[in-house]
Amino acid sequence: MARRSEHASASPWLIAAMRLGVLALLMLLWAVAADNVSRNIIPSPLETFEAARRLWADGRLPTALGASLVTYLGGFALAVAFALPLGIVMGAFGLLGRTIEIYVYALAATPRVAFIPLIILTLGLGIEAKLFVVFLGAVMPIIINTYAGVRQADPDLVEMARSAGASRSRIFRAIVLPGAVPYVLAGLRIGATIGLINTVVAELYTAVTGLGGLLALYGNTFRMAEYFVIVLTLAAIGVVVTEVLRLLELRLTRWSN
Amino acid sequence: MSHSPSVPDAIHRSTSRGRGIRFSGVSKAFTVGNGARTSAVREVDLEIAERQFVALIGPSGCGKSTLLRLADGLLEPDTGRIEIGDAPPRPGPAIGMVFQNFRLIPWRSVAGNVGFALEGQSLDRTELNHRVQAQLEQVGLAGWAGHYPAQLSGGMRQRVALARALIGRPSVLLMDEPFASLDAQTRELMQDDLLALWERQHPTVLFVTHSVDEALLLADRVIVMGGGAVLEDLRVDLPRPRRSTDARRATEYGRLREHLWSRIRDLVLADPTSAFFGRHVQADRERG
Repeated sequence: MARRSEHASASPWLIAAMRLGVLALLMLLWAVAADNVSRNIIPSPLETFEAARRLWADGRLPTALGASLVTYLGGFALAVAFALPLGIVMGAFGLLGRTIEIYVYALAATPRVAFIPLIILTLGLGIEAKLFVVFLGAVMPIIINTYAGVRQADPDLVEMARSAGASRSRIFRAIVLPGAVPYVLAGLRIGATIGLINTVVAELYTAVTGLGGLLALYGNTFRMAEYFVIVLTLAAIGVVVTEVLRLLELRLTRWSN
Repeated sequence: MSHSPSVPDAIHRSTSRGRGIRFSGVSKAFTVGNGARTSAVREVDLEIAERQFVALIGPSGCGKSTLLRLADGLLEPDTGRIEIGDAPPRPGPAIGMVFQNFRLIPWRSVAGNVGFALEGQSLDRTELNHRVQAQLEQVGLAGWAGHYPAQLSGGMRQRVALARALIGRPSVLLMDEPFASLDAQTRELMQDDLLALWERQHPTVLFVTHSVDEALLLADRVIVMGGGAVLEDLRVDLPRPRRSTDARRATEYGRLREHLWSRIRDLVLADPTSAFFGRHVQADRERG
């Protein structure tokens, strides 16, 4: 009696076709806009494509992309490595969690850009500072979600496990941690999004490098075709990372339908 | 449900020797929101012989679920003593527990759920798999080992929960309204299956239910609870083996049913938190 959700029953081919259709529509709108708004502001799709080829061929785009990916993925990996254990420990030991959760929430609510002058003063303008800016953005949602996931373990399942004679540590490993996985994945997705934003922020505020650096350069010099290439590249990174996390989620929650 | 003849008979008979359940002066109170204590079970004395099938019936909040958790060792009594056989209860596979809402682990397969109850024991993998497979065959789910709970119907989920409770070959089986969330037909079939399993393994059963019919069909003895205390202890002398259809034809069944139902009805009507509180007059008029 497998229950399937509405959109899972639509054929994946149909969804792909519809998505391509929307893409075509967007390109059309873009072309129309490029024709009707002054040329200097919106480049045509063709000009943008040409600009992309140029930037790729002269090596600027690959270099910037590489630098940004190092900052982004490095900072995100540090955030995961720090936030997962902390969130789990906070959830496992109630008193510790309740003690420090308020500071985590306070820090999460503070605009992280506010720390950039301090970060520059302590870590300088190099890769360390950039990694830390990304880390700081991504770490909070992962801590908060992991903590919430561990704390919100299903009390019915915990009671069932106790009734089966499971020890506290076995209940934690077999019931509490796996039950937190959907929360953790949601935290990773939010963290990945904020991490990408903070990558650009870091590249704009510290030593100007990477995609953020090119964004500022082309934006300030009104080279709009190049500027569009950078924006689309950033969007593509966002799509790829979110999609990878979504596939991970599908894989880890196969049991749910 | 088919019981595979390939299951070694030893498994059916290997139930550990029966153990009775004894409650002596057991009370249990809980602290509620405003710090006050409300008593859930009051001064309960109850002795259940080994291999007996006892139904526990009464209105919501009468303490029957608390009594069950005390018998499982999930809760400690405030006063009094509980013994299973001759020792206080300790949660574990030797006391099987089946809950109303199945409580299957959603990310584990059927086999993983059934095996969960034995994972604390030091069994090797092959032995564990063998026991799980045999238990699944016994509840008629042999072909479903790899499925996830979300892929099963309500009746199948409850059979997985039953298999999990039985795999430790428990001498005591505790059931907390196990069939309450099933549809009517599935419930009747599950009742028959449970009786068949019980007749073979013969654990001592304490079965909490809201349903007078269910209690009379299954049990040797029906205990009526109200306000945390045992109000009535009724023998059910209907012949066994019973099946849902023929048990109800007995005149004795009708007499017991009438008696129990009026008892429960009065308890519900006298409960100020019930939606039917104060309907005595109207109900009496209808009856008269």
